[in-house]
Amino acid sequence: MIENFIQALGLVFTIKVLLALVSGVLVGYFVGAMPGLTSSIGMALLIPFTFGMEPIPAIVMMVTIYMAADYSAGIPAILVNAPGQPAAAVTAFDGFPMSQRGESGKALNLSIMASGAGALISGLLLVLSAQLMASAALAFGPAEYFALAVVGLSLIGVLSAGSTLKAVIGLMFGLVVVTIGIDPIRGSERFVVDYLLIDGIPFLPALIGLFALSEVFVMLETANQKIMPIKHTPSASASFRALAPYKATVVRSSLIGYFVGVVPGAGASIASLISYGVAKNLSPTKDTFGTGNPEGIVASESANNAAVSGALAPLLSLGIPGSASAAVLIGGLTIQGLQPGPLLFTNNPEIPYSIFVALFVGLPIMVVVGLFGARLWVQITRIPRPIIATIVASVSMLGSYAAANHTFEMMVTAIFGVIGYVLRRCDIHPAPIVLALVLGDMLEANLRRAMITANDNFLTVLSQPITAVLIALAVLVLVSPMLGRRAAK
Amino acid sequence: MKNCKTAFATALLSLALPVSATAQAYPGGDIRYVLHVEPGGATDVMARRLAEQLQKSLNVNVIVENRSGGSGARQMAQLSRAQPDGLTIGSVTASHLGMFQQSGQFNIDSVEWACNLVLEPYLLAVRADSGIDSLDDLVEQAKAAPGSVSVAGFGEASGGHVAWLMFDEAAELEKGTINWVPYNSVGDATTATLGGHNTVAISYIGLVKQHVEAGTMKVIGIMSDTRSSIMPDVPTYAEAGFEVDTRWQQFRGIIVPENTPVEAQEALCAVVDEVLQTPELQAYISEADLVPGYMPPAQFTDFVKAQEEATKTWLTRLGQGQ
Repeated sequence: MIENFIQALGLVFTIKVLLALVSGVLVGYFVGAMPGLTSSIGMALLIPFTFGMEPIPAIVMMVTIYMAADYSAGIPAILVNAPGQPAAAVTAFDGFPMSQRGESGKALNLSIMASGAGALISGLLLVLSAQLMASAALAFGPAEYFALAVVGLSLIGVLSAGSTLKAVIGLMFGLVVVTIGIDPIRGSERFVVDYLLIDGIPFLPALIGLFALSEVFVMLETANQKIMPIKHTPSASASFRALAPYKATVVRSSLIGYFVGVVPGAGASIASLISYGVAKNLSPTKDTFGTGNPEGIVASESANNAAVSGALAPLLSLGIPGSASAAVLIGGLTIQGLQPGPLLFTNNPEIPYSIFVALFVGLPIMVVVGLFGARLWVQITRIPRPIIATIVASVSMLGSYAAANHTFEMMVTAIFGVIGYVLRRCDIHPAPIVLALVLGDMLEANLRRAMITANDNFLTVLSQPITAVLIALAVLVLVSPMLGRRAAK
Repeated sequence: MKNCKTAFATALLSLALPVSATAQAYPGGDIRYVLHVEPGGATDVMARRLAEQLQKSLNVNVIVENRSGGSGARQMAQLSRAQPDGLTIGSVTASHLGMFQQSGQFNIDSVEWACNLVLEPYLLAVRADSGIDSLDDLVEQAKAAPGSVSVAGFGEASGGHVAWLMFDEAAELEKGTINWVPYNSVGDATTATLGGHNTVAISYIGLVKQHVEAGTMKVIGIMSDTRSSIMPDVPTYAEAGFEVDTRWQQFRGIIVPENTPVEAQEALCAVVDEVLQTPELQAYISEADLVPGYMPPAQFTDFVKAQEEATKTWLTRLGQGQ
């Protein structure tokens, strides 16, 4: 292992590879921060350019894009409530309220420190356990995925800020939305009024509408209000100290992020939601979550950055992508004539070890760019509301168009913008809707797959060990707030 | 003022260009290659490789555009709006045929089927420790305890599903003996089987090769006339005693807008055939474990019609069985 590391260090520390690494970080910052562009789109756009590149710089560039984009998606989420990628939606829950109080500098610095810590912890976990995680990734079949989705949905009680009824309404709305499209098992159409809906409502444009565009409407309503003066952006060393009180949250969220990331198909959004829910559940000041509690940002950011390394574990050990971006990375590896699979560590150890080194070298660069950039980015909040509203609206539309080069996505964004605005005015929090959009398909398709395998016997589905444990956990999460309330009385 | 005149002249010229282009030999302009898949996947990578070679050979730009969504419907919409001049071409795989069954909007006649590029035979793979060593073992185990064995594959009424139904019939399995479990992709189905959540997966060589080499998976039969040179020990279905129509294979081809002249299609396909022979693409095809399967327009159209016919027949039988 040590020799492999030394060999990989030699491979990475060349001008070409370092250039690829730095440009990867910068490209990643851009695609991540642009709502609509995700790390997987950014990496995929680069694939044609990697034809002529050597394997190591190509792979290093793609990995650093993946890492940096996952962080930078939180920047617009905090500043203007426009998550750059789905996972950053959770960051917006507390990040944006902090920004509205004028604490955007503090929120940004905290988010980059938490991201860095999450990436570091999960990076170490990846180096130590990538090969062990192969069996963990394979242990998840339909029954287990179904149970994982139930755990996610059980967080509804925790995530709902105010009324439980309103949270359930939000959840139901989201679940209805995900039924649109082709039935995942039977293949028949459900509410496909136009052929563009065959694949269902596109997730990313819907999210942009729900968060960013609905925020634009709110901004227009409050156009005449005075802008909160920006409070002083803390220095780098102060940011280290700012993270100190949340040590436990960072470690816990990074572990959740890594392990959820390992499960193929689960990914950063689910990691962020679970980690946020757990942090809130354990907090003595539950009520402050959603109103600008820094711990919410820490929980979300360290988890979704940890999920990056998590998703790389099944890729390196089995050739199975843990996320959409990891799938593109596999495409990149195949172009280079490499076979990502169980023999990668044996046949091409330089690839996984170069990825490890790239993660650790890219990490400080990402953090430094983030810390220095924060001072610049907070200036966005100084822009008068009507102007920033116009900018956010056009960037949202551009982003949803860019997602698939089609105006259909822009329409989805517009419609969800209006829906999001109405829901906000009715005090329905977007968290349960995001929960349903992220988990709906996983829940339905996998339950039905598990039922087919089990000859329609639900008890057989539940009797799988991992499934049983996860379902028990879900029940516990669901009833614990109620028990807590009773105890308080 | 001078700038204005230049701009005006350029604008006029640019309008005139397409007119003069039609007089030239094919292609006479840049080619737009519209893909129905997202960037980064196997179909995308192959198309980009092909575009690179076409560009070299034809001396025009070949611009690859990804129009994914709607299981190919979005790309079909794009193609049906394009000029039928042979300068707009599209990628196609068997998944289009599945989409035609679902969507009233498009069907096999909405485009011209220019040429096929490669084929990929289906195969059945199990976990190495499953105790199943042959197709006979699989059938025996399933018949001994109906419902205990499940097969994982991509989607409902997909190419893989029909391939499975063909085996199902050849093996004279009664309904409910082996359950079909549809996944979102062949890759997901293969992973589920590797994890022991399903007994057998209907998959491709490229997806199982690494696991076979690592000793965690075993291929028990390949749905093709001849054995694969990559896995020479794996018997074909026929060798194992199961007679199926081996023309049923996954394919990747090129489609063009409806009413594209046959001459343009043939000119395009002649170049495609040529570049498929280049060392670069030959190397890619063998590395990706694909089977060369070039077909010119007439042959490809017949092939697709036969596939469509079979899909419909099997779908009806499936519908009656439920």
